[in-house]
Amino acid sequence: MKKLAVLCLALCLCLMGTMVLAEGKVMLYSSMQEAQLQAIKEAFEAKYPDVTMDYYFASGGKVITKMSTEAQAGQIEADLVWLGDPSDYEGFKDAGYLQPYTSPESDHIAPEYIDEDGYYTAARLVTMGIAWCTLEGIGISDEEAPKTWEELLDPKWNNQLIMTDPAQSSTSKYWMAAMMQSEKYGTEFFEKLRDNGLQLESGTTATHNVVAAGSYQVGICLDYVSASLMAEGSPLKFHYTDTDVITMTSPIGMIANCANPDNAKLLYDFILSKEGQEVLVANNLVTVRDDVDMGEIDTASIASKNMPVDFADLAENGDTYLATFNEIFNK
Amino acid sequence: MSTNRDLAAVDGRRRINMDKVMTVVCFILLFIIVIIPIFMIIYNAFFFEGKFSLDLFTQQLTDSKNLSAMWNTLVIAVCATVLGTIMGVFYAWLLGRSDIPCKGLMRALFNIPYMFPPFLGAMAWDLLLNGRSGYLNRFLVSTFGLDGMPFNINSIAGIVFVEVSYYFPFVFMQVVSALERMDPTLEECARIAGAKQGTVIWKITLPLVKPAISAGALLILTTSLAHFGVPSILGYAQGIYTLPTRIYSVIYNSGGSFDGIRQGAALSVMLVVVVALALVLQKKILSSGNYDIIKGKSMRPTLIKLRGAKVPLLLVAVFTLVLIVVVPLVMIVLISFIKAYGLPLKFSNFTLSQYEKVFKASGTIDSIKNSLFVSITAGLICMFLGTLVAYVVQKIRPKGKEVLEVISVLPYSIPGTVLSIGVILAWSGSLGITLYNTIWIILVAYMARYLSFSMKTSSAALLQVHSSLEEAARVCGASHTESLTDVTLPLIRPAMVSGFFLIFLPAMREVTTSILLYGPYTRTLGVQIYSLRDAGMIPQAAALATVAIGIIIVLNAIVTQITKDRKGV
Repeated sequence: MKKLAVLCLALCLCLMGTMVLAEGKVMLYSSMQEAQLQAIKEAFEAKYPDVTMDYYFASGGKVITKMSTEAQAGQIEADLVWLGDPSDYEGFKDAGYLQPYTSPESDHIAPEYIDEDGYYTAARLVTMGIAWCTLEGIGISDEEAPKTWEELLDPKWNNQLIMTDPAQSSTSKYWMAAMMQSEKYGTEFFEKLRDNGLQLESGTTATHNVVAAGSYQVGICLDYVSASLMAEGSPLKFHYTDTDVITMTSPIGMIANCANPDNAKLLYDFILSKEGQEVLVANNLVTVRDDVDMGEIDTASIASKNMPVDFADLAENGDTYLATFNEIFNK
Repeated sequence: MSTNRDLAAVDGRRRINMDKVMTVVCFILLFIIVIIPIFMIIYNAFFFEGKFSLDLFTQQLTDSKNLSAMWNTLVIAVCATVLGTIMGVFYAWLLGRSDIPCKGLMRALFNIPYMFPPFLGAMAWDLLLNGRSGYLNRFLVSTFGLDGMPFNINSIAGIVFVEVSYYFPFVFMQVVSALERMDPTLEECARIAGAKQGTVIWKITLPLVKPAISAGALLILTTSLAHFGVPSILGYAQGIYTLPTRIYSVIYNSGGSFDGIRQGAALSVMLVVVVALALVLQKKILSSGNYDIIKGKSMRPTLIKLRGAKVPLLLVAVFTLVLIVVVPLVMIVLISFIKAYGLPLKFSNFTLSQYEKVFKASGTIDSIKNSLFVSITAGLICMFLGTLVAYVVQKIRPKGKEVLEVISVLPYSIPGTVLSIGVILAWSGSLGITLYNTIWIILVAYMARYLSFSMKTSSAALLQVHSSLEEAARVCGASHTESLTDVTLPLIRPAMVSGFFLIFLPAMREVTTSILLYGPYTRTLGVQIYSLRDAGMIPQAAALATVAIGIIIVLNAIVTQITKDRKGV
């Protein structure tokens, strides 16, 4: 038994050793998919071999919960945070979670994508659209599929609609709040969606998965998640809505008093750099820079269909919209 | 032990009694590990800003969602206990006392569910029998031209089914060994006196193994009441909550405010009340008499000949094995090869890329390392601490030893979710020490949770070491320390080792406690699989689960090897 005990102790010490080591570290909290985070990690570490990039990923709601809990306990463990919904960052700013930082890469990024006080910078564009299942015998054809938000109200999609619970996902919350804010859609649109049997899924990727599996035929889905699942062979098809496109500028921000500020700046700059953005584009994300080629996706034409969004109102009243939504869906 | 000498050296004449030192150390450690977290829950549930207040509690108690969660918890636990007990007793009898073929193999297979985390089973069944798109459901619909999906695993019945298939071994294992140890002459007497086979089973065999049944059933009941994994995977999307999943969602939906944790604390008190009620109820129904069934003589109970029923019963047993062991495992492995979730299970859709992704992700290796670290450390610490407590309780017998015993067993009867809330409340700064988000907070929780395992095994071993042995050593001139290290410890060493593994194995696959405690750097293996699935990366979660299953199998093989060698010690 002594041998066993010694062996166990030795193993423990080794494990501890590997945990404490690695001096140069940077921690990113994000709601992106792991594939993209992994791609950035690889490219970043190839460029800066002395720095290990770690990431924690979960749906936006969970990341925010984690940040607030950690802030209560003293210090947020992350160095950078990168979520989907820019209006969350107004809250972070007010709560003192962030510190301002202006990246030298900002020159190539449109000024409306950068916070005027410098607390956060958009690092990718995320668009909400409609996706459907193309599985043989279960899915639907491209002609049949809904192409606008109003078409989701068609009774033929009764009980076949799914979206991500806005309480769990920051992108879904942004879309919901933007729709509710608009005069054209408003709360009435969501009441009609509910009457047409719209269901809620707990995470963004999960929503795409259940559409791909044919559990639901049509989902309110994200462009990049659909694209990366489709790249793996998932039976999905994504469509940017014909009108009223809702795009979010998913920002990064640096945590106040973070443990590794120098490495955080390196990663911040790397993500916004041409090199970093090209990694994102290669992994199905849409760039914020003006000098990165987007390939087949015509960003200008999509942007021309954008629905105007009152950003200040979203930041201020986001929670009220969420409460209304929860009331409609009896949550 | 060296403390003893050091202290004696400092204090030239008066030797400090080592027994007293051990007793005091026990009380202090248990106070820190167990009492503080439990106290923090009760304090936070009933006191607000230093004042006693029932507001939070009544507000939680009258919330209809919480009440329905409470009701679901009870229904699931009671059904799982009743069905699991029936199933466990039936198969224990079939494999322990009848002449059914392939016993050894089947016995080994029936123990498999005990090794695996139930939430993996829930994942597999969700893929097969999901009410909207399960593979098996779809197959049945297309084969028999049904109108709707025939099964829906995302229901209370589905949760009960999965829990039963993972928890019945608790009863099975207890009863099988009791059946083997019982005195067969009692049954023979009844047969000679003219009783029929059925009467013998009902009137003689069952009452004799009743304590074993009752102990197993109790384990199912408490585990099921506190269980998080299965109801969260199968019930969440359908709005079916149990108290542990409700606590989790309350904490996560509060946006991280302290209110969420306080609400969780109030719900925890409710959960503890439910567990306590269930325990009392169980005592009433199955007040276990004590039968002296273990005899020194070695004897083999006669086997009952099944005759014509042999083949049908064998088929039933094989079918059960396939259903609860083979199908979920195969499903997990198959999904781990699929290119993208939702594709049909065809060979052309298979790939190894999920494994590539899993091994490339930094989280995988970290989570395996973390799990190994906390499980081994918790196992080692508990092995020594549990033995210390057992020694104090059994041999030193100080005043208040009952208190000590109760305190060390208490954390296992309170749910893991509750324990982690207590640990968060105690060690995230309110007492001046912040362990939140570090690996140590998980370690502290594991220690509290698993201490009773090693305490019980060491206790049982110590009971068999008569104090005359130590006294003999003392008479021959050995010091107290020497008699302890040279006589008592070597005698209970095998029990200590098995206590270690009893902690190490379940800790390796733990989810319920760590899901509330993990930080960005401290995911455990169970948490990593759960979060991958939660984030929608189901094929990847399945690939990691397959890796985890491999690790569990290897560890189990090592354990069997070591325990085999142990006979020589």
